[in-house]
Amino acid sequence: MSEGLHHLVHRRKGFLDRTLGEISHVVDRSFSAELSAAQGGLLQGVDARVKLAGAALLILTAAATPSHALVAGIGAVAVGLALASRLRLGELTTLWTGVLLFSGVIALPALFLTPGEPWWRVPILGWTVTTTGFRTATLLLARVLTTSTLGSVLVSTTPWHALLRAMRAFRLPVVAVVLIGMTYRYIFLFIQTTLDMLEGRQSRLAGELPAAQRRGMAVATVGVLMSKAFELSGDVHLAMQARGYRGEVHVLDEAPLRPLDWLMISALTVLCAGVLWR
Amino acid sequence: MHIPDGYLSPSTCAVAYASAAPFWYVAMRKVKRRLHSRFLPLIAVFSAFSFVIMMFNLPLPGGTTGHATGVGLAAVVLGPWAGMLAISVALVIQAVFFGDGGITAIGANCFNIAIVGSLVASLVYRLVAGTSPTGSSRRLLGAGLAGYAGINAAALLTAIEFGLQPLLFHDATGTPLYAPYALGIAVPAMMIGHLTFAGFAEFFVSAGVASYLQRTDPGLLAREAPGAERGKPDSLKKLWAALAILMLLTPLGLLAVGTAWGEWAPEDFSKADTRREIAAVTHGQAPAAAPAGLARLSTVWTAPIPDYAPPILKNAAFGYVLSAMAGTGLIILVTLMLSALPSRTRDV
Repeated sequence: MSEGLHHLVHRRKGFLDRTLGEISHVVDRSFSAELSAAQGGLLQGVDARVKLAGAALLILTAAATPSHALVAGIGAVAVGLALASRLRLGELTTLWTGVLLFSGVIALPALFLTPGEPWWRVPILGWTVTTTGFRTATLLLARVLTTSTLGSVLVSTTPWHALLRAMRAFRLPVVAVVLIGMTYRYIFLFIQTTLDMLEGRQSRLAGELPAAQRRGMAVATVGVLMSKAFELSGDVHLAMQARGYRGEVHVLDEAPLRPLDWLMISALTVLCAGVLWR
Repeated sequence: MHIPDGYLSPSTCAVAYASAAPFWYVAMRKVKRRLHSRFLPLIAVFSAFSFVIMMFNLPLPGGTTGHATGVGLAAVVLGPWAGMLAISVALVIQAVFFGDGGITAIGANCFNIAIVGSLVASLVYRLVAGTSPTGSSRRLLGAGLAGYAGINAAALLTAIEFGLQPLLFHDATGTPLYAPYALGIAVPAMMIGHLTFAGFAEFFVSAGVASYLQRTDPGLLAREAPGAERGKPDSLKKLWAALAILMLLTPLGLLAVGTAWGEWAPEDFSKADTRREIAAVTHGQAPAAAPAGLARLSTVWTAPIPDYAPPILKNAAFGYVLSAMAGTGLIILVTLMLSALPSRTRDV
């Protein structure tokens, strides 16, 4: 996160603070993913198509199996791959904390609300945790932790343009892939534009605005952003036409897979098949 | 509301992808035909815009803040088809690149928020805004309600998907394998937050930005308001035709046997055949007589046309059609009376 952004985030609380916090979080994650994708680790050397297929296979397997142990095993594979790819454990723990906070709030009541045999009574409160409640809550948390780790490992070891190219290998329409790629680029342009607008406005504020004016400021910012979006789409369209674009999308062919890629996808396929057909 | 991986079973996710696919296909064809070479830049830029405004924390009355999805705005400015594509792309990027929403749940999230949300928002916007001028306060109300209805329709669908999981997917001991709460918990838990905070956030963003555009860039609001210039939208004829067909089809209800669940009249509890029906659907727990409260309250109001069968008619099918016409006429009358209320028009 840039110095200016840090300064903005810590200067004022409320709408601006929270919005800037969200934006900085997105920028942070993206920068961090791009940096780790450029490092030399196990998965960084694997073809993006293999990583995408492997992550999808493992996520599907973790979602399909009803066994705690197998979900935990897939989670351990994900952590192992992350460490072999030189991803920082700190990043993973930040991810897990967020996941546990969000999904924990959802899973916690299931301990008491799911009908089943009493398993443990909470002292003082007297609430009863049921065996089925405990199993369903822990299975949900294990699944969410495992799948979010796999998603994070995929994005953190694959440059975004390689990930987009990989999507084409799975018969995703070219137009959809180009659309996602263009959108990804413009997201960062709009983030910068939003930061400029909010910073410009904040630098002119001497005190805290009343709630109604803060709401007005928020919708005006969104409105300006929308007007800019339409202007920009017109400019981009003209620029594309100037370069010969006539509504048809063409992309370069993919390079063939290497032996390491075949080895990796074969190993993951065998692992997932073994889990599902055990 | 973005469903992460692990909350829905793989088969639910597959059904969601299959449900979303035809909408994506039709939307892609419709929007490409309309925009041709402008399709890519417009949808890409608007998707990026949608992504960024999902990060905005809007101050709400009561001192809290809420997020908006932009589903109402997309429907108002782009229309339902382009809107559902733009929001879908934003959701895919959130899931794949930023881990917000699951990869297996992309189909479900897109179906709930981008597709159903956009269609409901667009329908509400067209119904409320009608052919009013782009600068009218009725369009603001339409935009706000579009956002509110769109996000709540998406939330309801999400809650239903969650609520179906423990019913459909559990192991031999009854342990739910995915989202653990049944419909009775999932629906209120999801809807309370969306009918209040999230719904209001969407309402304020949609109406607020529409108001801002009325003052600064009214052309953007005119894109999806064809009736505002000419006075009557083309689609109204189709709506009338569809309404007429639906009215003619109302006697189809006569084909159904028995009484609808929970619509029993006090006298049904004393009829042998209806008692058998009630017992069959309540695990044999049909009360011996009509509950006292039901018996007392059922006499408070007597409908002029009970059971859609006007007493003057002997033909039940014709009675249904006549009831449909009378009901529709009453609704149109009330709507016209409300429309006749003075509306404040802004100078644009």
